[in-house]
Amino acid sequence: MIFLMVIFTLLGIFTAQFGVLPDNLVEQSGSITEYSLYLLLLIVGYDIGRDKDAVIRLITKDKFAFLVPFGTVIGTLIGGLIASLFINLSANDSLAVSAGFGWYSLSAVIITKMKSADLGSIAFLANVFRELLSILLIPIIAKRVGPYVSIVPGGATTMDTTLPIIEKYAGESAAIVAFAHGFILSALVPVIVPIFL
Amino acid sequence: MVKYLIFLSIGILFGIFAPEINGVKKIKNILMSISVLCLLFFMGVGIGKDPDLKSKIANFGLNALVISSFSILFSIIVVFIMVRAFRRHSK
Repeated sequence: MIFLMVIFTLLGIFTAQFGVLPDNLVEQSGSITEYSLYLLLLIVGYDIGRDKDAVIRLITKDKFAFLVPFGTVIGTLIGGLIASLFINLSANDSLAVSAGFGWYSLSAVIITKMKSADLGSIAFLANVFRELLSILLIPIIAKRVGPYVSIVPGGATTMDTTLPIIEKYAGESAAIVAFAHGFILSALVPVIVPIFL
Repeated sequence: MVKYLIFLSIGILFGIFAPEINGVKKIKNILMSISVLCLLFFMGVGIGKDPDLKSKIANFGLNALVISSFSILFSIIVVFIMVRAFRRHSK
């Protein structure tokens, strides 16, 4: 399934990039993504509602998991700062790009408006890469490290695109935390990105 | 964001109150796999429809990859340490 997920994502990118798809499908891609997401959220919600043990365990034993988003923010910014030592970008620019937390559309727009189109392009790509790498990493980390750590790479996307992947590979408790994680990080993108510009 | 919360909540309520029906699990799993692949394909389309994507990757791809890799790596490290500390603390 991981292999299929990566293949489908890359297929979407390549077919759109090389003009293989009918124009109306390309135009409708945003709406189709949105409706698929609604259906997935219903299914993920249904699974959470069915698995009462997961909810009870989360509220009693694993309450700390709700602090994961703050660890993600701190770790991401440390990563953004260290990355600036290896590339030709200032620490602030690198931090602003990393603070997109995988939300490529919004962070690229904010950075293009406030700084430059070039940095906006870097933000778009860096956050697209984050989302694509997450699809690959979530199943591996869930299996080898643990359910709550597997939420982390997804950043702001864990309330939408990567949520079903987290639920599938890390379970219901992780899915509840992932939704809260994505919600908090998404709210922080428009707040933190401008701080560094 | 609020819309997502509403759909998730409707799903949760269904999960809690809907009676157990044979065959639902199988249909749900098939539906979930199809929707995930559909979502990822069209998310890819949303990325790939940018006509400047190739030149962006050629000019900025390496910088972007370095930032995303370090961001992911260090956020995993921080949360890994955090989870271990909490687990040890709660034992």
